[in-house]
Amino acid sequence: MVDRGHLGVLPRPTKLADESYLEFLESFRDVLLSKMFPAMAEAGHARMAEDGLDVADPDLPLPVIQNSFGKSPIVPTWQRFMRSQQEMMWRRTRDSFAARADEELAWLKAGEAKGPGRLVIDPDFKVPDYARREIHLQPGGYTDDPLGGIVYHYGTKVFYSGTNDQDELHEELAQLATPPVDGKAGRIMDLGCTVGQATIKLKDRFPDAEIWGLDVGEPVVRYAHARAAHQGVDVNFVQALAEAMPFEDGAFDMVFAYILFHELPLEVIPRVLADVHRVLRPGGVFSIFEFPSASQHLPPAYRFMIDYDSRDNCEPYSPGFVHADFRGMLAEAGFAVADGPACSNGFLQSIVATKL
Amino acid sequence: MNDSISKQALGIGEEIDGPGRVYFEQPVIDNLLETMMELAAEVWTIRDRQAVLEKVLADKGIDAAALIEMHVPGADELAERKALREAFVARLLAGFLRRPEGAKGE
Repeated sequence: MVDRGHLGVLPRPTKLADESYLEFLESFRDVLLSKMFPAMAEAGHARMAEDGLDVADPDLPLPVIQNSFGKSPIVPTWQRFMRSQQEMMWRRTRDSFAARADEELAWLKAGEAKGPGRLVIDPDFKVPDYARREIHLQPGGYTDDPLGGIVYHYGTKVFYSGTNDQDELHEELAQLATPPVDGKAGRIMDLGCTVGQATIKLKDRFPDAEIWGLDVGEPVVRYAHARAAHQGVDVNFVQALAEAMPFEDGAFDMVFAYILFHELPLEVIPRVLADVHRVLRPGGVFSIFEFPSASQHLPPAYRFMIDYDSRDNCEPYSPGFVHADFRGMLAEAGFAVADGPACSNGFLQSIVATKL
Repeated sequence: MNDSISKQALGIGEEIDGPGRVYFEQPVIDNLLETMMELAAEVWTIRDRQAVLEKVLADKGIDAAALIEMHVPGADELAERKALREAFVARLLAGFLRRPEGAKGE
């Protein structure tokens, strides 16, 4: 089999036909989000007005919104296209890399023994049931497919519509991560790091810091480590729970988390916040880029989309998150909570939480 | 495909391999749209391959893109391509021609 190599830091699918097919889906998805979603929102809001509803009313029950939206034919069409492109994307991505599974597994194995960074896998670690979901419809989710790392990496290339092929977004977020006011950032955690894209970019920004990436999924941290090792980047990875980090109290100056919390059951979030608070030293900073939560009003079209995403794109926990008082939970955990610097994705909220 | 790591062996892929979702009252519409997407993806894949093929040949000194544009077909070739094209159009429109006024129940 011909090794098609990488384009920059992005692995190439096994065949040109896979790459072309997935690039088609990438462009298709981009139109669904950038053109068709606004058209659907406008149509849905117009149906709501015809039904005598106030689009600006934040207390409208979701079924009332869904009833009005359901009267426009663009709505089921958009749902059909979204679901189908996501299924087609994962099928083709997984089949493409599974076709060279032996080579991919050998690459992961070779990475295990390589430095400069460490890979920590506890053989007794048990993945909790709540994390064993096929999030975003990915086969095996983050936890159960040995090829889950590379499949996730290429799948999210499509998710980002080609705008993050060279980890551009992760670079932006790492640049926006807020250091402590005293400027001391000797040890930094990338919490929920998946394949370690932000972890590596944090090392670029803080070259003298000891950097750790932590995730619940063994396939993704193994891939993250192999990827960093083959690039020669000195970052460390550990498979662990964000609510039970294998680090001492006060061990970190900074913790960074990108879209982690909407993937957690609501009851787990306070435990994670308590553990972040524990591992940060006084004055340490937690930088968060995340889905919106209850403190912000969402237009009906976004409420409709988040509900669709939850049920039909396997995001089981995001509705709980977007309706929760996340900033209140941070304050309850003992953080001083402030707005963080905005990033280029206007959907996300940015929070800087400082351990007092 | 490496059997030891197939989706079946791991018992994964329930979301993408299960019955999926239906959004229209008439599931045929869901199925038609999905078929259209699959066809469109395949058409793009073929076009992309054609473009890469022309580029690879050009790198070897063969300007296939220009040769294709300059190609002058003979009468036999024209007739053969016309017949294939008409058969393709007939297949595309077959459903509409068979049921010009939509479905009729027995």
